[in-house]
Amino acid sequence: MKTLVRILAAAALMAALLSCKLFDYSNITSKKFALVYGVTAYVSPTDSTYVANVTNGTSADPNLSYPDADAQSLATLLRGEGYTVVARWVDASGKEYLTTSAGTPVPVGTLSSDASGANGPSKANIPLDIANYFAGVMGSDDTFLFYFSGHGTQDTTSSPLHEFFVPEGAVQWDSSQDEYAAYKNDCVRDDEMGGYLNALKTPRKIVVLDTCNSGGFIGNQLESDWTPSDSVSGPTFVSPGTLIEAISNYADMSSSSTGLSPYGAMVLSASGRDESSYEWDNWKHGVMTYWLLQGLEGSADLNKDGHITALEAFAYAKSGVDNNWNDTDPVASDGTSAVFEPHVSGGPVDFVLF
Amino acid sequence: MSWSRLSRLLLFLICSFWATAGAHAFSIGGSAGGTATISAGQGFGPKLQYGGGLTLDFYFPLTASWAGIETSVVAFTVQPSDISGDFLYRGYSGGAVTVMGVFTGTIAASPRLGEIRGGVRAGIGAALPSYWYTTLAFFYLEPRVEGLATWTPAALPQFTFALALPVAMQLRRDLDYSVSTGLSIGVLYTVGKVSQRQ
Repeated sequence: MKTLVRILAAAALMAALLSCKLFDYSNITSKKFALVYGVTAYVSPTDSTYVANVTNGTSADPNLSYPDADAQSLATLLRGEGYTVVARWVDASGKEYLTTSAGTPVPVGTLSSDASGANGPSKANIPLDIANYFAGVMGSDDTFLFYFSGHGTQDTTSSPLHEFFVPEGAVQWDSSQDEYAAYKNDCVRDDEMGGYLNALKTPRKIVVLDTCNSGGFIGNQLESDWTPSDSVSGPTFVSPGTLIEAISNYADMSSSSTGLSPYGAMVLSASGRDESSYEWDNWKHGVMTYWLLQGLEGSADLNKDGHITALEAFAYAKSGVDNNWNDTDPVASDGTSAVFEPHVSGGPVDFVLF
Repeated sequence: MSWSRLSRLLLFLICSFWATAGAHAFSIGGSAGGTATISAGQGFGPKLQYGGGLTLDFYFPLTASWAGIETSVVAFTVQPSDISGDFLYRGYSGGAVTVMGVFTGTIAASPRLGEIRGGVRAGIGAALPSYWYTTLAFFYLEPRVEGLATWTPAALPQFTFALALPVAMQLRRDLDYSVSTGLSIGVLYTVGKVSQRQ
């Protein structure tokens, strides 16, 4: 009986100790920074060949409608929550804009087909902006968010597959195909983005991509995602395959040789690796971004603790896409299903957005 | 194998052991417990995560009355940590199976109150949880040791009530370390020879 009493006393002591806040980090101040890009117009609408081909239907219109609205809205929202925001976007008329600390959009040029010469959201400006606006002022406990809205693509000729997002200057006329195409050297490849982020000392990095194929930027090493990379065929559930893949990942921790490691950045993607994402005139935003914005305005505080984490924001946006877009059986302009599923990185850590 | 086939197989195993209970003298029971986990990730400091679980236990005595094997099926959840410092460890929920050796000895016995035994359980678990708000499943192994006290009332010799203090190490490859402890209570119902229960 004495032993039992001792065991119970030890348990009570342990419970008392664990109820204290032994691991409280409230003395740490994490400043928040964001780099926000959006590309609506990819080429000049006045290009005569382009206009002729779009008119006669032999060429697809590479322009989108709402990435500039996505970028502006998110930049405004984040700035209102105390973020230091740098934002660049190209609007539908081909004008480039830049906003820095003041928050007022400043015209900085017109659409360029030269990625290195553009003043807007080009590939060359990503590392420059990180170096000029963030790397020198951010500490190891600060949080950095990168957002891009625009086109995304996949290199199906590479093995393993690589995915890209398509910044300003990366869509050009391809005379061999009589079509506009994403020039991959001017696109941002999944592993290139990881390289840009290495310039920041903090491990607290979040990448949000509202583009097609953006799930390819997720480079999970341990987790097995049972939402398929192409969800048109419908959602799947936990299966023995999930268990086998999870055990296999546990054994080698190297299942993904592309994409961003969850230990380098947490990625929230609009779509899976092998599917498209969409924008909608009724919401005047990308579908995922619309629900992300709705969530960040307060609804994504799922546990009602007064804070929104990146995972809560993802969960709210995913739920919004599922319940308000996918459930309506949307159809793309080419007649195929426009169902898609947002994805998120694994890794054990989540970050407070605000 | 689909979940329906798996559940049928589990039901078959339970029924098989039940039908041959006289020979096995095994025990079946359940337990519930709370846990506190200290997790530390790469580049981040340690934090506490609280959780709990429900367990379905099967105990098989070995030839000696002081030793046995216990296998368990566990459903568990671990809450996210606090958000101090603007980071947190994600919450996760899932299932696990454990196999443990059980070693106990009599602490006190009375014809009126019954028998109190103390001892340890030690073994390993395999867990497949998924992170809250996601469809991301992951796997890890979990060595565990439990301090154990049991009471078999004289009036209810088929029943054994157990109190356990588990200490487990989650061998997660995405964390620097993860260690948990807690408290669980449970009850076992012995089918067959009551003299060979833990």
